[in-house]
Amino acid sequence: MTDTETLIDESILFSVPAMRNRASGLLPRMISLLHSEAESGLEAMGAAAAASDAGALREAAHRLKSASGALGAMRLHALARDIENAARGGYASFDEADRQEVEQVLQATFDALEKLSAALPSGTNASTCRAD
Amino acid sequence: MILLVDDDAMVRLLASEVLISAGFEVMECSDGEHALEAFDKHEFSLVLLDVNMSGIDGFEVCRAIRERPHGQRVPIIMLTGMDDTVSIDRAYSLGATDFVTKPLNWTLLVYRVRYALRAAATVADLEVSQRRLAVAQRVARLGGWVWHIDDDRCERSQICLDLWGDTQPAAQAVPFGFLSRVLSPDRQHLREAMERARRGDAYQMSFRVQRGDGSVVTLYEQALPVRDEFGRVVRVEGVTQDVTERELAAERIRFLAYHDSLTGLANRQMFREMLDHALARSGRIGARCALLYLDLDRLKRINDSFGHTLGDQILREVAGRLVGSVRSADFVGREGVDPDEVVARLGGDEFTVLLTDLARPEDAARVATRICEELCRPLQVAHVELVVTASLGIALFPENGTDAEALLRHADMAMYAAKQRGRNTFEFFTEAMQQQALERLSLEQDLAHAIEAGQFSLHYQPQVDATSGRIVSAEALLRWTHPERGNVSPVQFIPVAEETGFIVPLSEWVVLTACRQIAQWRESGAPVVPVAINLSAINFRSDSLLPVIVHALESTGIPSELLHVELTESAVMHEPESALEKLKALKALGLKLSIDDFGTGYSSLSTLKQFPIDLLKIDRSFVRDLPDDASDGSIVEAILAMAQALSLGVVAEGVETEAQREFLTQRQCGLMQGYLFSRPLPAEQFLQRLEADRPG
Repeated sequence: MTDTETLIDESILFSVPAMRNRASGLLPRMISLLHSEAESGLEAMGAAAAASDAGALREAAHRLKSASGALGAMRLHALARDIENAARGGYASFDEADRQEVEQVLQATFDALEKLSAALPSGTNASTCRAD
Repeated sequence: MILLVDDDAMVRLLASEVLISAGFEVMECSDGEHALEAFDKHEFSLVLLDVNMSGIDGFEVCRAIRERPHGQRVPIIMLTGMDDTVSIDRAYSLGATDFVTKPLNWTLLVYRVRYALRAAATVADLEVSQRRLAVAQRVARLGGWVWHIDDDRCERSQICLDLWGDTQPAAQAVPFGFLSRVLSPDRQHLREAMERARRGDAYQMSFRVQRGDGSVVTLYEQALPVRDEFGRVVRVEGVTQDVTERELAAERIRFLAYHDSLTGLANRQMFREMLDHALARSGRIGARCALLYLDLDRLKRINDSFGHTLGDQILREVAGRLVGSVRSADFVGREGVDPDEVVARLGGDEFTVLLTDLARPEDAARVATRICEELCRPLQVAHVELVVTASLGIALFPENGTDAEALLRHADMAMYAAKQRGRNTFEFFTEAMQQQALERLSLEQDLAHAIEAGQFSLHYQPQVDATSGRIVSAEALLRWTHPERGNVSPVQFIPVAEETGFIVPLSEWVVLTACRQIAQWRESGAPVVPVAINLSAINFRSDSLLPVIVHALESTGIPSELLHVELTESAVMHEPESALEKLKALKALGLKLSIDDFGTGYSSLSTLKQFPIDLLKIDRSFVRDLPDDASDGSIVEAILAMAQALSLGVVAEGVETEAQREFLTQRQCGLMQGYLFSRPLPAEQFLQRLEADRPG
């Protein structure tokens, strides 16, 4: 189900004008923040599942959902949301397969974000660079 | 400043970025505790609040903000998951203003914030406006209400309820719940108007209400039915206003427009309306009325002597006595007319009394007598005891006039006649009075044109030395020859000239004419004797007297000792202090001064002694019966003795017989004047007489 989601919703990602502006350095900074958020998220989710702590799993998944949503990383957002919803139902499972799925989506997300970042024009005015 | 609360650093960073780019100031908080702390320290125009946070969650923060006095109106936008309808409901129930779903479209977030701020500003404006409206309604004592027809329930604002006084809570929502407080017959009118409003007719009406505490107020109500799309009346909207003060003010204005503010009596306007009404009614039923026109005697003198404040007090006292006199006149039927209203002050010292349904004309005389008696009782105002009398004229309806105008005019004429007859009395109007009044009016008009028409002339009556019989001086006497009236007696026209003020220009003419005549005689080389002119009390008091005499002397160039001035005893004895100043000024011009008609007025001998006068003229009334009338003889002897003691010269007037001359000569009367020597002569004849008197 999560595969059907758009990897990156650019309308969300670029609704912050500075995001298109290479000079602002906002996009690389956000990618880096998402990296560390994902890393700690994965770790927290694994630990929560090991401890069968559905609450902690829900919280970690929620954080990952929120961070991915902020950047329009919709597939990752959907995946985190599913885990959060399951945990809210008391289902505290996050096995290796789940972990691999998250890592795959993460990888794809970062690839896409890096690509978009690299493609940013070097101008300073975001509006002149906007691609339809 | 916007307070942004989210535990996700990325959300905070991006939200801040867009909001700051859009021109907002933003303060970020990563949890609920810090958010509440910041909210208490700073002033925020809006709060963006994430629902799902560790620690105190967004719901709790929202509730806590709304509990704070400064947090009740700030817009709070909650950030929730897209499918989280439970959270959305809960957020609203806790007082959230709006919500946006995550993941956020950052551009749209800016718009949501802007619109939330605009809506908050509109709400704030509305609240200000409502507060102002509430204040205005309270000040205007204007309360609103809505009558919902279907459930027959009335919503009334607090102000509206207050207007009715203390009311039972159970009655407050009942449309006809307060009707019992409305006084009859307004109650029935209001009930009918409300019934009609329910069927679709608007109404506006005033009604009187007795409140629970017994006070009576006047309420004014406007109601407007409102219909639905099918034309059915669904509600009636209305406003009720306390107009008690306005009504009282209007009543006061009406009272002032129809009453004299000094005495509280009816004024001229009201009296005229009442008179018109009473005459119309009396005409219909064949009743008799009497109009009494009353003028206080010599009030002007009291005003001049004691000031207008005392004069006003007298007028108030007189008004009270008048009302009392008319009220106690129980034979005068008034048929429900307030007795105060039939007594009026027309202005100044003029009052009127209207008596209706009079059985006999004598009844009016009885009221007039009672008024005279009441008024002439001494009255005490401001430590001064005074006697004020009145002259009354009575005109009867229908005998003396059938309209208000005629009755007023005729009563006025009768009043004038009463004054002439000696004041403190009354007169009924007669046709003869009307004739006299018309005659007088015509005389006034003729008099006004007589100078320019050259109808006046001066005649000169010699004054002779008793011992030598020679003419030593003359008295100039005014003659009016009218083309139709012939010779008009000064006795007839001088009082009219005095009352109309015409005496002032007339006397100027006399002074100038006498001086010119003297100058002409001198120039022609004829013998010349001093000429005495008569000045009235009005001339004597007039400021123009001295300038006129000075001008006459200077323009003709005659020496001042050739002009004598005769003043009546009453003219100089009234206000002796100012008279003394005037006399001194005349004397300083070099004029010889005489007191005319001496013995007929009241002279204070101590005052007389101070006056710089030269001569006394013994009035002709004392001379007429000499030498036979012993008392006249004694008076003349006394005057002569007194004059001698005061070193004053004496002229006896009206000497017509040898016996009179002999009597006066024996008692050292220096000068005489009368038909025995010569009647007053036109200038030409007087000169001939003078030349004959001075042969060679």
